[in-house]
Amino acid sequence: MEEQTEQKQPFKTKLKNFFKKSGVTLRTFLLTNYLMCAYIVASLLIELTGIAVTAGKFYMTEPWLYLTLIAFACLISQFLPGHKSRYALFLVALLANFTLDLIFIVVYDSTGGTVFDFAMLNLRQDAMMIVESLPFSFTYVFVSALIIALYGTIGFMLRKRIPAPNVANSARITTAALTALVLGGNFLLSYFGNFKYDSNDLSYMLEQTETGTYSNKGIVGNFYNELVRGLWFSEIDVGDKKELHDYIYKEITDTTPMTGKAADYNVVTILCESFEWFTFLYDAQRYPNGFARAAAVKNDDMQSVVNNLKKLFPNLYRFYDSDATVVLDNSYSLNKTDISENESIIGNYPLYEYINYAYPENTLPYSLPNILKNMYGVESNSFHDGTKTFYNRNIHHVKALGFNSYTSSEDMDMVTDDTGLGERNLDSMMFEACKEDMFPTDRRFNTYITTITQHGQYAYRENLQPYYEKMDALGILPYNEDDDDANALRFYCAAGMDLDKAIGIMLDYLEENGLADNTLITLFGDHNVYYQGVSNYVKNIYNSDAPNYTELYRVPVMMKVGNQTLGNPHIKKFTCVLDIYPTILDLLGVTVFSNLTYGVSAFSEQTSVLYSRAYSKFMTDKIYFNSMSNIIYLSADADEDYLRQIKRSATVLLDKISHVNRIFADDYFKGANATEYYNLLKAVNDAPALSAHTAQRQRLA
Amino acid sequence: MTEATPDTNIPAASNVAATGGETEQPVYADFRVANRAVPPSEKRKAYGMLVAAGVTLAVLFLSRLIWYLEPALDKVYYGTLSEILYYIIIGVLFTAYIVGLNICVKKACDTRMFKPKKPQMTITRALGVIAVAAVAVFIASASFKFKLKLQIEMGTGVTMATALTNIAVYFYYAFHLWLGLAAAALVQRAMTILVPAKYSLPWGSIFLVAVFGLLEFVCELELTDHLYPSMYYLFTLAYAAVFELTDHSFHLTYWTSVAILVL
Repeated sequence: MEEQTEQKQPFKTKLKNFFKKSGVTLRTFLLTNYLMCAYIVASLLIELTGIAVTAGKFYMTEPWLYLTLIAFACLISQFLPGHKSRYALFLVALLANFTLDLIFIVVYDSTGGTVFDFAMLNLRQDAMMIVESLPFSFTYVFVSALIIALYGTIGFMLRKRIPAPNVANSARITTAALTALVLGGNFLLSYFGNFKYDSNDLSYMLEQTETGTYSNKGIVGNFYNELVRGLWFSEIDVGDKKELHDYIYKEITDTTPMTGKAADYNVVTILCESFEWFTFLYDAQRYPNGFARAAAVKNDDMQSVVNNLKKLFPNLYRFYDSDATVVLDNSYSLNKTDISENESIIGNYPLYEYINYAYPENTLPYSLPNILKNMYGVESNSFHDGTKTFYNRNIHHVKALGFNSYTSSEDMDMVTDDTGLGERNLDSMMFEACKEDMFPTDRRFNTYITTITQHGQYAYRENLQPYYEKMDALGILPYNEDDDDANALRFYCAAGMDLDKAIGIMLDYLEENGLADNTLITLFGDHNVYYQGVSNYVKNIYNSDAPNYTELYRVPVMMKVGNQTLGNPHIKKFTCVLDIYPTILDLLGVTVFSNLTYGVSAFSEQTSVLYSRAYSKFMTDKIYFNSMSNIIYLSADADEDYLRQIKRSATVLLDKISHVNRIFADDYFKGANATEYYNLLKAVNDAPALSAHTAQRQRLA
Repeated sequence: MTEATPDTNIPAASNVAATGGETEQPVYADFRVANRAVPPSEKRKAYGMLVAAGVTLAVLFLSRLIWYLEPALDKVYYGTLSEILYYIIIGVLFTAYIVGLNICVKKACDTRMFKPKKPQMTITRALGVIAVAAVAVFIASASFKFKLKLQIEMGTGVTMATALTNIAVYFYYAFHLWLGLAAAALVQRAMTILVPAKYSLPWGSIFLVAVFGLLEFVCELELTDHLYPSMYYLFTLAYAAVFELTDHSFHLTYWTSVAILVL
């Protein structure tokens, strides 16, 4: 009878009786494990505060991985004999959580919103070289320090008053079982969170729920997941090489009305560090806190400000207003310098790696220097007034990109290199010192220049003092003791004046030496001015709710085609940094295999979609999204048709990226494949009217 | 005012003397009467502590004169390094002084200055200490538009060399605070001996704000170009509050104060 009653008892009651018999009640459990419970609450609060100051949300959509880590710490504590050691363990765990979060918040804030990924570990040395100030989030540090202080104090004071922990063998066995369970859960979560990665098919990225922020897995959870992914799930399967081969040579770039306009020209491409239109342009609507604001304060009229700007930036205006210059008015970039640099030289970039470090010696026959060298015997050289080894350029530019030489500040005659005292090198000095090597008069050349003066941080620099004086003389952006943002803009624009001087040196030299008529000069900004939030301030855009959010990433691209009479056209269609490479090739009249090129010529009727490797986002001028199920910004005039078109374009782009991943991982063009590429490229260019199918047939023959 | 509690660093005999062997604290009508009840030997120790506090204050002040060696330091290495050299010299001198002071006070006054004592802390008081520190940091940050003072002081656009100099300034301040608090603790102990009462007056805190803080403020204002001297002076109010809340515990006060000072 008794047995029957016992059998009839519901599970809940059975469980209750079990705990009663073993002397464990919820109350005693909580009392005994007060330190553990408080630790869970404290660490969650610290983590959520970190998420709030980065992603703007006080929750995680996928907290499971993070929770397994917390659970693991809790279970480890159960093996410790007393409250003293448990207290120490929890305090260390809290401090570790706080420190990790702080590091990634600083990275996030100082890079304009980069979420940690495994490949970023390659950049750690470069990052340390440019650290100038650490933007500690007040909210995070204050709240977390308070939580840790409270935990530390109250835990310390109470640790002797709470009942002794249960260290019975049964409890240990239960803990061991739970630990195994948590570790198993952690393993499964890590596996199923990453197994979807398929190097041959990246289309899942368009449907993923991840937002590309810390509000998914949390900061610590993301870090852990990235370590797991980077170490065990990032292998790229080269797959079917025949399919890869056919894919590469399947399509060729289209011709446009501008194809060959700069045939046989010299090529100069200048990556202007953090260069934005508001460096020298007045636009009250787009840049309400730019020159327009300063002018409004002084009651200056627009025309007089523009006249003054033309005095401060005569060479940029000379370039911008030239009849031979094509202005890409609606161009965007959302990447870091190294990625923009590569994209403008090779037209693509793989996912998950930073190629300067991961593939510094790969063979890239389709890079602009390699194409020009092998097709026309043109020598290419790269110049940068920064540190030689930064971004591993000294190896990557020569070995992979195909430049004959890479000249850095160490090789230049930079007499006032005061970087040790907070100065940046002056671009004008680099141009002055290297102009003869940059623009040789005895041969056709391809020169790539990466500037540095406009690089953050934007604080007073002694070597820019003459520019401050010029600005002050004209009353442009005066120093304001109470306005840090306005001052950052002032320092930034003064650096822009040195870029202007550098451009002047180049234009004068080219003209004096008769090179201006047959040189194609491309000037572009690698990314917006994310340092100190200057771009946000000038454009008054602080989050994706702004009706013109993508404006935040609009950067200048200007191409001067010799001294041709083009009528200073302004191209209004969406273009991006990916389009620079195909546009240069289009102007040079070089046809390439378009499946290796993410962008399209600015003069073609097609438009590209920008995928940001650094920020894991797709974008055009009308849309900014992580996946089609997580559209962060959509312009009011983007309809369903537009979305469908974007989805199609993004799918094509992802297909290209997956193939490029394989090409890089396998170093596909090493050896005979590079020769084949050059041969086919020559064949295609010898018969420009060849269709893709003809090219294919020719290849097979 | 806090209720007087036997200071474990002061020999038990002094308490016995002060209370006349009673378990209850005596209530004196007048400070002078109370002072007369203190045995001369205890008085000597107390005066010794006051002298030590005065010397400490003088060392703090005179150490600034080393800055006048700047031209000589510049000859060693011109630039930011000479400033760092100055702070290194200060660090060495202060460390030597602290060791010397500890030995002298132990010998002359029979008290160990930096021996950690178990503070008579309740959770309420501990929360009070955290609250004082949090309010001080919050107000300071609020005055910088909610940026940490540390971030402002470290500066934007600084290189590693200037960052090192700025970090050296924090060490300099930390040393100053160590000596200042040591002087305050000595004053507190000395005055508790000299003026025994049921409730000890916050002598150390008064000293911290009215003498140490004020002197630092004037020196900073006149002699150095460190940032925010007035803010640092106001911080001494927070240090004093923490000193009282921790029942005059040197180490708790010091580390809490350092956190306020840096953040």
